[in-house]
Amino acid sequence: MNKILIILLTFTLSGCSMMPRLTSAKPEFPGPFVDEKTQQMPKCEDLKQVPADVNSMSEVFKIIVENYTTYWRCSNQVDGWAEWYEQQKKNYDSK
Amino acid sequence: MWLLNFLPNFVIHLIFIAGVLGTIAGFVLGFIPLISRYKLPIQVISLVLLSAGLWFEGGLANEARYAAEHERLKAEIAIKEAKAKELNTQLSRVSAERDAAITTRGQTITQTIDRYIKGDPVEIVKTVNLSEEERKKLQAQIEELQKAERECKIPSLLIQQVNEAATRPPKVQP
Repeated sequence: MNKILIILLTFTLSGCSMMPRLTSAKPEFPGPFVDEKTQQMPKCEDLKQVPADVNSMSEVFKIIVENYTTYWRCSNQVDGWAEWYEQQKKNYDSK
Repeated sequence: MWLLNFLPNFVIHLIFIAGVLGTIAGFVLGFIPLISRYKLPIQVISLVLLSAGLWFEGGLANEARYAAEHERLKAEIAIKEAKAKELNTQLSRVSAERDAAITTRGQTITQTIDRYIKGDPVEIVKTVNLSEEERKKLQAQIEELQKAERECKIPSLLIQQVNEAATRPPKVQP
């Protein structure tokens, strides 16, 4: 009788360990920065090259200025990803 | 607990109640002649029923607790998702504004270079809001720039090096 009682008690207590699994949602990377057409993260543009036959100083400097602009646009994009991550982390970690 | 999905709740309560009553009958009311005759089967069956009943009752309580927790988390996630969407829209707008500002700034600088190179220094300084002294200084700077533009040759080695710096570096394979 005691063995039966022990088996039944073990069976009964095992019910306490039955827990349904809960999962939480996570934000889809990379948020607003994904390219709508390709559905991929856009890459930074290549920098412009100065043509070998350039004959004026201003043309060279204009290309340099354009390259700086390209850099700052890329920087804005990367900073945006970091900002997006921080914001989403803060949002999903908050109680 | 998949079994709980098949058994209606009242069946679980009935099993539990039957188990309790059977256990009382089997262990406490053994002096009654009718019960004493079947004492052992009543004890065994009622203990099995009581155990199963307790197990299912515990499961039901757990299910209810987790269903409530599930609902609470679902509501919390919905709020977070809405907030995430709002943040995405906001960041998307801010980033687009920043991008437009950067592009405009680059274009303005290029146009300014063009204006300084091609324009008349005297006419240019008339259009800017500066003091007399600052205008003279700017005029001298524009004249210096135009002279450099006319006279300076761009060394090809310099172009090569600038282009080298502007070339995307090769990817390092992991």
